Amino acid sequence: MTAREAVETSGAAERGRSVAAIRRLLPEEVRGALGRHFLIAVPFLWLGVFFLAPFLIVLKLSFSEVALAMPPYTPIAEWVDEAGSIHLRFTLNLSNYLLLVEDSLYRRSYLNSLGIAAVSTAVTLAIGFPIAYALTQVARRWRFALLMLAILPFWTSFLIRVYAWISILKTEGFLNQLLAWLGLISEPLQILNTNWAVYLGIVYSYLPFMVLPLYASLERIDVSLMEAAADLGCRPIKAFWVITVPLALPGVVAGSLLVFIPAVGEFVIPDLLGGSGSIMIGKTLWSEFFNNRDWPLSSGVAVILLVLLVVPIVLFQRLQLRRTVG
Amino acid sequence: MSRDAERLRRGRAAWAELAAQPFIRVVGVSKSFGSYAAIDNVSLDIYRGEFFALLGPSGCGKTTLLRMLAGLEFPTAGRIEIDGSDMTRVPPYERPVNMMFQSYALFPHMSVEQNVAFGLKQEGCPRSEIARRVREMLALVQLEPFAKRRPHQLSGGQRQRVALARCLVKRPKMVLLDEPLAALDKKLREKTQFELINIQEQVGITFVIVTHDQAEAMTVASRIGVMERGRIVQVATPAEIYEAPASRYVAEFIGDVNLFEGRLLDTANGTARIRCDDAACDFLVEQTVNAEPGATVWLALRPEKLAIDLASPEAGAVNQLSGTVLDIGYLGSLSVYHVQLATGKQVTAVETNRARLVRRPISWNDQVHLTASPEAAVVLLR
Amino acid sequence: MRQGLSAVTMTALALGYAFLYVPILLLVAYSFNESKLVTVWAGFSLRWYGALFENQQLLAAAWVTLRLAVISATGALVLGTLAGVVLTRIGRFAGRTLFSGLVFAPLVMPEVITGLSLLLLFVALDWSRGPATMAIAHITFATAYVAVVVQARLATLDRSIEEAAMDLGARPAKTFFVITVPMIAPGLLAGWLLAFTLSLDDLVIASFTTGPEATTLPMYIYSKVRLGVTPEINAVSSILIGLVAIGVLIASVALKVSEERRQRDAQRAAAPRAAMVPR
Repeated sequence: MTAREAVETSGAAERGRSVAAIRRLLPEEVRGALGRHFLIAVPFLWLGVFFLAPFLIVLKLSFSEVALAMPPYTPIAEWVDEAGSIHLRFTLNLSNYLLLVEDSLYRRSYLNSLGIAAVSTAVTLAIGFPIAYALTQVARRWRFALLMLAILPFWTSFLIRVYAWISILKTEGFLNQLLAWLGLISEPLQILNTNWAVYLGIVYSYLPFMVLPLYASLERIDVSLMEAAADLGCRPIKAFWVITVPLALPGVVAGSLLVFIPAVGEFVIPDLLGGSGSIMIGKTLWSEFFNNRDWPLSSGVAVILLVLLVVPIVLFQRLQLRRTVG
Repeated sequence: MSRDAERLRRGRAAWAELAAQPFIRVVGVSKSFGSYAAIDNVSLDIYRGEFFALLGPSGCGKTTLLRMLAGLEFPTAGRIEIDGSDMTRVPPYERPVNMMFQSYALFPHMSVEQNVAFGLKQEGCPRSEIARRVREMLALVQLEPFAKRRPHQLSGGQRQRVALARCLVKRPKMVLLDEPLAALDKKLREKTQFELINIQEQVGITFVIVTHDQAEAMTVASRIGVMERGRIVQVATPAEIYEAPASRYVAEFIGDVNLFEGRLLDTANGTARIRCDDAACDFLVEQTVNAEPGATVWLALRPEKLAIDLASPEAGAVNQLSGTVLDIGYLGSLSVYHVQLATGKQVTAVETNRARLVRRPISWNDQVHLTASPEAAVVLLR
Repeated sequence: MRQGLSAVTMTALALGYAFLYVPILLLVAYSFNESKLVTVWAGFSLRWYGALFENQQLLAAAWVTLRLAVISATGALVLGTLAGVVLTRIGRFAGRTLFSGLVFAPLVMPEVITGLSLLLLFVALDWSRGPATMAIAHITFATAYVAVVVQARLATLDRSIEEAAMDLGARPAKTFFVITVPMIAPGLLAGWLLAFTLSLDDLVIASFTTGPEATTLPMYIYSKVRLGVTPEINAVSSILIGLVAIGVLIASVALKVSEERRQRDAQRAAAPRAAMVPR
């Protein structure tokens, strides 16, 4: 049979006709639309129920009062029977917010969190940029191994990596042993349980989050741009500042946000490395919730934390969205 | 083969027969993406066994039109019929049409054999038949030794043939080719164009190809549809498109052309007289022009239809221009002359280099004379 | 530009990697310490590793954590893949901005907020807290990470390969499983591993959403760490670090090898073409 005869004898209609008949009960467009809606609905519903709705509950709870009950708070809306007519009564309680705004302890914890997160982000950027840049300069055969080594800590437990610093920083720890051995100090330094330890912990824990986006945007820069700059009479150092750094800016912004936002709400690091003086908002929330069992107040803390982070989070979302579209 | 050839000749002439039924009908189709109209009210008939080319610059909507034939996009308005049935809203997996993608879109995790068998498997074809048809098809495209290879183990030309085989094995009513040769280098592309024609003649399936390369369209196609900004501006055979373009756009897009703007003086006995100020001359063109005297028209003159000479033509010669040689491009087989007329207008003339070049008869700054016969030029109304 | 490393980049790399790895190496080294004091070396010993396997509390926590991580990673893989597909393959739809917001927000949301809000939801719904609620919590925040990985992979995929499958008669669902999934398999594996380790490591969200019986390994470690540094914790940590390191190394080397083989094949394929083109 020649190819042409084969074409004439067959036609493309040899399909399972009965299946096709059943499928035809629903027009294809309707089936396509159903499939699409199903695809969208499943993750949408899950995230709506388990991510969005809980925030509304937090918001609601931040307006109620702590009570000795289970759950330990008063309702803000309840059905009351007054003179025979049943109606809904709202009790909006602003005392949590008043406390959170007026009490200097809480005010200090927000400012502290923002300050510590900002400084740590700047330091992480200062350390991360040279590492990311150096990675793009390494020969290709080494680069994969080095990149792996930079990512590896990101996969290992956060808690364990913070824990590792305790034995380094404590009074009789490795750092003080080293400094004493070198003759640089006579008295052990108090580092653990200070803000210094918190800075160090954040920089250490979040460094991979900074290096990866930086590397990604630096790696994308065409080598010939630097060559063109050199050809046009620009010295390497200057070319680095006027070509490389501006082109790496998206990576700088992404990396900084990935460090700053979670650092503001950090709990483990200030709790394990910081002292009683280094109060951060995450730690405050945790202790209000677990130690004082004041659920409404900790909800209030969460709302304020969220308000503080709205701008950077929206910025981050924009960045992500541009990546998915572009 | 003789029967095939005969059928093909008839098939190729189908659009010329009044009684012939179009095989594919595109009726008043429009497609917009948001506010952007990619296709604007296009109607087109394609006949059985044709090799039809959609030609146009990038962004003219040719790929969108092809994707609507494949069912990968649905028209915003209008109707598409294939072999008498309405296919306007039928999804790609239910259409008797297969497409060869510009990137070939081979499945990277499947061997050549599995790639070709994929479409038959979707039809629920029996195993033994799949094996036989895949074998036949790989023989047709001369890829049998590579059956077990993965796409990334093939060269560009081999991948292109796998993609073609994958379309043909389903014996579709129509094969759509989206810039099928764009990824190949020039020599291989030219060779493959003829392979494509041979394969199409062997299988007798209707081919629709999209390309921005006019030489490619003219080589492979029986008819060409030239597109401009979402519309089809001319549908004709390659020779008609070249020799009788419907508009300045078509004339300029296909090949090189000298265009003169002029005023129609009169038309008598099938000969039009046109006054061109930028050539400082009256042209005589053997063509019936449907316009009133006084109308603005354009004269298209292909460079190879202009004769160039140092000597003045004999008295009484028509359509003659004279000017100075600005530039000469020596291309080996041809020489291209850029001549500036006294009016300042530049004209291009091409001469075949018949004799081996011993000395150059025409040189820079030479005063030359250009002549064109009355049947060489075309009068365009738009 | 790339030949020869300058002293500056060399130093940056050396210092950077020393900073990243010295603390971890010290932690591992001192897990083999004979002494009960973590910072004073007193000779090599495996006694703390031996002690681990008699610690019933710890073993129970490890088992809870492992099951939780497998379930959470699998759930997050499914949801995250769906989300990634929606973001890259379905153009515009009502609520797309909200959708992508919901998908990406957990990436940067402070854990204390996610934990607290989920707990309040479970209380409001009157669900008893335990492994199930922890799994829901972990699926929710790990979904974002899977979605990012899958979406990145899908975005670089040639759309026309999927179109070709449909053109050849495969319906959309079939196209997804037969064509798309095999092509993004490395991304799916990476997403699952990422979700798995996120669940394995999480302390804060688990602490909020757990019930009285279910204690995870990070919760156990945290409660011990609060009381001070012990060699036993060094030993557990070393095992965890070792397992994750081995897993990640195997996965990435396998990926690297397959990628290199693909490139070699492509180069080999280019050779005959060069010979085919007449000069």
